[in-house]
Amino acid sequence: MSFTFRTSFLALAAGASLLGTSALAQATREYTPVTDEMILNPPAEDWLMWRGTVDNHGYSQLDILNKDNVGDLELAWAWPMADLGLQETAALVHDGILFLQTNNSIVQALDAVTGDLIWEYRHPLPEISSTWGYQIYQSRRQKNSIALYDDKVYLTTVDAKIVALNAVDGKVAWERQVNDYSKGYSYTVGPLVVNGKIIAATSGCSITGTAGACYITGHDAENGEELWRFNTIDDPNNPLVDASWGDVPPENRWGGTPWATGSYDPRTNLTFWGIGMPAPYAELVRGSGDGDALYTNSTLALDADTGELKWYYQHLPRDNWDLDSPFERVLIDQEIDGEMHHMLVTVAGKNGIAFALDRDTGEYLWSMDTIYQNSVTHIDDDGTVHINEELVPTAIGQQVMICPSVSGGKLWQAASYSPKTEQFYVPLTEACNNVTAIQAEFTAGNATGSMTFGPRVLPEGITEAGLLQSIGISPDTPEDAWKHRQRTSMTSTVLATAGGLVFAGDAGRYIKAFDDESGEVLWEQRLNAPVGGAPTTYAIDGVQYLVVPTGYSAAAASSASMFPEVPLPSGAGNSIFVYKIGSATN
Amino acid sequence: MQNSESRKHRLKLGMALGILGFAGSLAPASAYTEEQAVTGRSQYTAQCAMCHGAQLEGGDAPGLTEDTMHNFNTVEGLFDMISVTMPPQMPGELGDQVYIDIIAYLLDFNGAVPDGDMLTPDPVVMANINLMDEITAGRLAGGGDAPEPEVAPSGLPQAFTWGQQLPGSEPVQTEPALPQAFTFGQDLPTVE
Repeated sequence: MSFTFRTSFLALAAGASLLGTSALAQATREYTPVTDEMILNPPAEDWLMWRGTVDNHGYSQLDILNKDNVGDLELAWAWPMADLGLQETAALVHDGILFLQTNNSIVQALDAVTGDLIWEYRHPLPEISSTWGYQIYQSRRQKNSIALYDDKVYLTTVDAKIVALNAVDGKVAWERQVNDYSKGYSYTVGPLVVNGKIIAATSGCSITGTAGACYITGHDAENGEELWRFNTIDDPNNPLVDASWGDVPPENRWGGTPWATGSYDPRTNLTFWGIGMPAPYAELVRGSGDGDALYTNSTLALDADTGELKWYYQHLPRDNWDLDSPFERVLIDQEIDGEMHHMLVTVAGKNGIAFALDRDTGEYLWSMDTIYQNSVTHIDDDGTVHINEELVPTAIGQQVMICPSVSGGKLWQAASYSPKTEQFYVPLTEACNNVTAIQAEFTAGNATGSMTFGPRVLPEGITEAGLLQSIGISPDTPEDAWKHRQRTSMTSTVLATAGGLVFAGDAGRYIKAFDDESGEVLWEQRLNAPVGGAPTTYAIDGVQYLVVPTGYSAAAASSASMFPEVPLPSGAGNSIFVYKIGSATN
Repeated sequence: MQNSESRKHRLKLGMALGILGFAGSLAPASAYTEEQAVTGRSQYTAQCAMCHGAQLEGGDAPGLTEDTMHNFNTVEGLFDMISVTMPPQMPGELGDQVYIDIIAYLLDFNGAVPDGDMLTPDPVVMANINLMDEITAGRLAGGGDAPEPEVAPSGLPQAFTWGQQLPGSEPVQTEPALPQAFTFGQDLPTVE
């Protein structure tokens, strides 16, 4: 499908006078609709979705900015985000407009060259009880992205709606209530839009009222009509799911939240999603015995048109420690001796283990440890994962030291794959924490974890919390390419580029550019707050821009005691800094 | 670790109060002083409120209401965490007394009632004070600045173990209104 029409719009007359001359100059801005073809093969100059492409590579083909000139980057403009809270966002760019989503479901459109505000959408949120602590916290957990398609911006909201905004003016085209927010459902990740369908993943599924169900849903992008719904913790089509929960009926199951945006393979029309941990966390309280608690901590391969499950693979069965495994599933193709290998590669969970699967069948190919972890003892050749049964709590009040901590290891900060180097760059944190199973009555709006966590501490013998690890990818065996270790933890998503650069940021407020082959630090800037969210890049008129989000970082705050000589700011500072390089060519 | 004797005592007392209808006048009190809570409020406002909110409602960081109290279980659990990790700009630097005073304020704000004894950073004492027990008991006496928790709709899901006696757990006295763990109320193994 190809759109040829263009939409024109006028800046609001009142707004234009407030915004000054640059807004007046944009009074006749045009917006080219995002087509299906663009989604599958985005222009290098744009950043259309969370990880740039539907294979979740987080890689830019732009090379205006490269190893030779990265030292010449200069600040083009900066912008404060519209609300406080955890900072996990990725700015999207199309047709010269930068779309920025911030906490509490606010979206802003900015001129990507000048930084002028074009429009702002503030989603009206329902009032909820102030005692619903975890649910309120979810609203301040900024989503990783919005999505662009056709002439719309798709927003998944704190109150469990999908909202379609007109890209040119931010006006609501339609909205659809997908789940009941009063039970605890919300969204903390943005949707994937492919083939005219919005695929959205529900959050909040560890909150009391959500018992029995957590969903991935498919919708018509034209009007939000629901086309299919897949429950990640109750599947009548697979008797192994009930068996894996022991005697626990669906109404006493929680978790299974798919809280990272999925990837998509147009060749098979499969969409791949990672699923989070079960709750209550400890099987002692969960009541599931030694069952695996499907489909928690798994990869799901779903038909994008129907939601039908094609295969699943569980990366961490029988989770007892809140070691979520929902993170980005990255699709990598490599041709070796004339044979094309279609892999799914992921550091799926907090315990940092890298996996490669055949993404057509779910067959296990290989795995490797990254950070120090003691949750998994070994993985069989057929991919069966064996947990460390010595660390399974067997009594209320029993304390065990588990590595990594509840904060990872790996967390929401996404890795990046460069097809140029065939290396996978993973942001990680070395940490352990004590966990203790507790038993308490669940309350409305709050989480059902039933576990206390001690402070994050460095594993014995390790003095550096931060690790950026590069893994050479092949279908047969992974290669330990290079490691960059540092005292402060890695707090941002990673961006790799055709310019030979890997960008990643840390709790010490540094954004760094690494040489993609050696790991050498080629450039760094110290900013106002921990670097969070996803650095992204775009180009306009021969100038390449680099967007660096900063702000309040739970990953930084929870690990700061491991590097007390690098104090965090007490202000939040949620912002984006936009750097540029190159000459405008018009 | 939870002090099972203390909790048993409180459960029995709570039942007795319920039967006698004397909850308002005989509610159990918590092991901290009013002065501690006042000092703790001042320290909280200076050191914590910028992230956790002036009314403990959260901001950047989580709200310090029931969810947090559940998560940390006992005063010891909360102290062990915050005395090492907080505030992020000076982790572990405030001194034990400041941390314990801040905990006194958190208890007080959420509904606990002071009993005139100083709360001290003694590990045994702290391990014997369950945060939610103190808050629940105090609320019976009308304590605290926090808004009344919303009455939960009946029939909310609970863990599969809810109502069961799990190892290390105490017998459950009432039918829960919300869904609970499958093991709820079971006698689960507990560390002695």
